[in-house]
Parts: sequence; C-alpha cells; structure tokens
Amino acid sequence: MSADVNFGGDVSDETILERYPAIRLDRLNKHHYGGYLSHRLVVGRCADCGRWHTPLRPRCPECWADAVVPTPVSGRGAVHLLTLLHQGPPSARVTYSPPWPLAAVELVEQTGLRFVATIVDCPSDRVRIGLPVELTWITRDGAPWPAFRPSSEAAHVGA
Amino acid sequence: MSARNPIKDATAFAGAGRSPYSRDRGSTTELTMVLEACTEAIRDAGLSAADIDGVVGAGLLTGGIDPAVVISSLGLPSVGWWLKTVPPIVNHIVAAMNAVWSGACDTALVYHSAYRLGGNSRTAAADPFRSRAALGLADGRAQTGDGHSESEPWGMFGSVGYAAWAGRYLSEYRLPREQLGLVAINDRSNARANENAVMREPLTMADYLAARMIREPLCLLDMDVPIDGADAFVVTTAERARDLTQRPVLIHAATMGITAHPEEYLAADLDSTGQSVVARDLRAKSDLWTGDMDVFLPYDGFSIVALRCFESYGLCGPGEAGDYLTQHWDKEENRVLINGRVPVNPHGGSLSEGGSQGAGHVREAITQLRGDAGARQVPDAKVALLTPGGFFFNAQGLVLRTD
Repeated sequence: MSADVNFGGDVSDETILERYPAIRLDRLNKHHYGGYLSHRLVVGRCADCGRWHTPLRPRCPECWADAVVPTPVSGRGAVHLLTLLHQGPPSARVTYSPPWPLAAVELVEQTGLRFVATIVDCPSDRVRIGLPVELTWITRDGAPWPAFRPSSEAAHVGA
Repeated sequence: MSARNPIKDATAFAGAGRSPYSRDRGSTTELTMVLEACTEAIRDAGLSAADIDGVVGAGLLTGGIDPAVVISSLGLPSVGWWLKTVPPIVNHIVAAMNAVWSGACDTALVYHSAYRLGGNSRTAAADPFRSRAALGLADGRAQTGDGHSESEPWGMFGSVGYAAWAGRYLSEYRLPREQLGLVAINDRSNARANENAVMREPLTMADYLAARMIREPLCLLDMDVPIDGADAFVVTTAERARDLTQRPVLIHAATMGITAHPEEYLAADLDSTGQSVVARDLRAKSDLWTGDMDVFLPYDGFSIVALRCFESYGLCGPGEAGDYLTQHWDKEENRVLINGRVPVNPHGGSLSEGGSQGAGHVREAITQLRGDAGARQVPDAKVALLTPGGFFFNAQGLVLRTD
C-alpha cells in the first residue's frame, strides 16, 4: 500500500485499538476501522487503475499495483444478499426478535463492490433483495459501526 | 485448471474406520475418537503400526488433532510424511494420494474428527471442557487472516453466507422453500437404513416447513447436525491395495476449486463459485461422469449446496434442481432415485447421518463400492461421485471406482 493516508483527521492507532477491542486490528485494516470513528466507510481504491475493492488489501487485486489508497465510499447501494438471523451469537445489543437482518450491499461505485452490515430503520416485511439503501451509523459498545437504511431517495419515489 | 490426471486410479482406499457419530458423546475427547477411528482403519486394511509411514488429518471447529499427537498416541515407529490440513475431507485425501503417488510415503493414514462446541450445540455450550476446546479461536472472518469482521456481532461468514445465497437463489428463480426441503427429506428417508445416522425419524414436508427458523431462509433442517465422531482411512498405491485384505476403492479423480474472490459476500453469482470450478475440472479429469455413477453423494452441509450440485454437475439447468428432484422422486420410499436407480446420499448425508465435512460421504462411498452397505446397498455399485465442501472456500470433488 502507498504511504499512510490520514483520511479521518487525527485518529491515533491507540484510539482505534481502544475503541475496537474485539477486532483483530492490524496496520492495514486500521484504516477501515479508523474510518468508522469519523463515520466514513473506507475501502480500497487503486491509484493506478482506479478500481475499488473490499475488504481493504495491501495491493490492488485487479492490477497488483502497490498503490492502494484507503478511500471512503458514498454509502449508496442496493441489497444484493440478505438473511434474517432468528438466532445467533449472544449479544447484549441484538435480541434476534424480530429477526436481525444482515445484508451484503452492492455499492454504487462499482459492480461487485459489496459491504456487509445490518439494515436499520426498516420494518422486517420491507427488507428485500434489491432494496435501495444508504449508509448510516449505529453504536455498539460506545463505538460507531456502519449500517444501512432504506435510501431517502427511494422513499421519495415510493420504492 | 488442469485436465491432466496422471494419478488416475493409481492410489486407493485400502481401509476405513469410524468412531460412531453421536449428537452427544458426552465425556469423550476428540483424541479418543480419532484414535478409535484410526486403529479401526489400520486393522481394516490388515496393517499394523509399522506399515503407516504417512499421516494427514485435522478437524474443523477446534482445529482438530495434530498429526504428531496421533503419531505419538499410536506409537507409529517410522513416519516419513505428515501434514495438518483443514477440512473438508478432500483436502486430506488429495494430500494423501499425492504423497503416496510421489513416493513421500507408501501408506498414509487419513483422519477427520468432529467435536461439538458451544457455538453449534446447546449441550456442548454447557460443558466446561468443550468451551476450553476452542479457547482463543477467533470468530468468523478473522480465522482467514485478514482480520475483517464487517458486522457485529456476526458477519456474512460461513453458515450466514449460505443462508444469504439460498435467499438469493430462491428469489432469483422465484422458488419456494419446499425445494430445499426435498434435500432434507431425501436424506432423512435414506437414514432409516443407516444405523449410524443420528437422525432417523421420518420427515414430512409439513415437518420441514414447521421447523425452527435459524438463518432465514435456512431452518434447522437445512443445516448439518452437529456431532461427535471421527473417520479414518488408509490410502496406498492401487497396486499395494490389491494385495491387501479389502476390495480396493480406486481414487479415479479428485479436485478442489476456488475463485478469485471467494468470500461469501463477494462471490459474483452461483454460476461462478468454487463448486462450478470443481464440476468443470472434475469432468475434465474423469473418464466417468454422472451417467456412469451408481451412487451420488452431493455435499449437503447446507441443503442449498446439494440442490445446486444437481445444476453445477449438469444434471439439470440453473434453478431446476427442485423440479429435477421431484421428477426423480420415488414416492414409495420418499426419496430421490435418479432414473429409478441411483440414490442420493444413501447414508443420510450431513443433514441426517451427521455433519462431518464430507468424511461421512467418503465412508459411504467406500462402503457401497466394497459391497458392504447391507440394507442400503446399491446393487453392483462400481462408481461413486462425491462433492464435499460448499460454494466458497472449500469446494471439492471426487470420483471413486472399483476394478
């Protein structure tokens, strides 16, 4: 990867390590998780070929250039894969009742560019494959995490 | 990919052993089960400790038992090749056959164990020793080494990814959940004739539809049954196997498959998965195909994986597997018989015999091809097609035959 890019202000390594204690952080994925703290969904983008990728890799998976720049996405996309968890790992934050949605969202930046998160602000019977969504943020153990909600644009057109 | 297959029919299974599958083996240990299976397999082949000069194995949830521990526990006096690997079982088998064929060893002991943990079994969750068995293991994606867990408390990893793709499959082809249920019912009907299966109560479609929903659209009956148990096999040259006790089961072709971005959430579509790669490569390597098989053992750790096998292996078109199963359904026996002849997972598969990462499928193929399957024996079975593993990181294929 190219030289460290400080996209999120002055977030120190210590802060990222402290705020995401359950994540196996390293010097690459810290850019992704560090982005959460300033509400940016940071993925990889190649400065040479311009292609995007998730999860963040040290080298462009398309052209192999050592020119990956951690870059925020717009957060707009559509539900590509969806499951509703009726049970799951014990969690103080998730009851699984109603079932907890987990979606792979295909982001508008590029075909096949996807990110996984839960869906919020949406009744269970409205969550479906194809639903236009936008990025929002939820709090887990005092730290921000990305989530998606039905896009406000779609709401206007009644989708 | 390579269509070359110079190892074709050059190696063989000469022995098989098992530590019985159970939904709760209680106070046993994983090593106890591995050793039970290994000693049975070596004796089944008519061999002893000094004959084993290669060892390969492992299990999934705990990481399994290290070959060095097996070698020490069995007092194998002179081993020249060993490897710890990851399930499903064809990883183990490909390593063993290549080691035997290359001369790294003459006779390899192959083992796999399944040991229930708190994450997939309530009774295991209450057992303090079982919670220690996986101490320090990270959840989900972190196991693959890139540290990413995109969503808390769980990402789209493993079982959750299969649920998500099952949902997209049903949505894309506008199919009802009953199509997945056919896989579960077929397995359960077959398990009636397998005393070693852990789930043998008859299953109706109404039972299937009423089962507890876990990861929508996958319910309890769409996911393999957690078990304690172990399997072991002896692999040697076909030539040597012909001189031993049992009828040799020849390894005709074996493949593994993965695509550029195999993560569950990144897979391009169900026509471009590891399973598609395996189906294509196995067909290129094998002289025997679906029309030649006497028994079909599609992997069914999740019902959707088995359903898609019928499509990936060309038995029907995309989205048509449920209709295919219905057309080949034997109403009297409430199970699939392809063309009225070829059973599908006659041992009950992962959904009814118990989940063992394809080891149970291999055991069943060997049992059938030796003619030892008793009440469920396919008459004169000579060719078996197996597809251990799923869509993403671990798709595999195997063609076994007898002389």
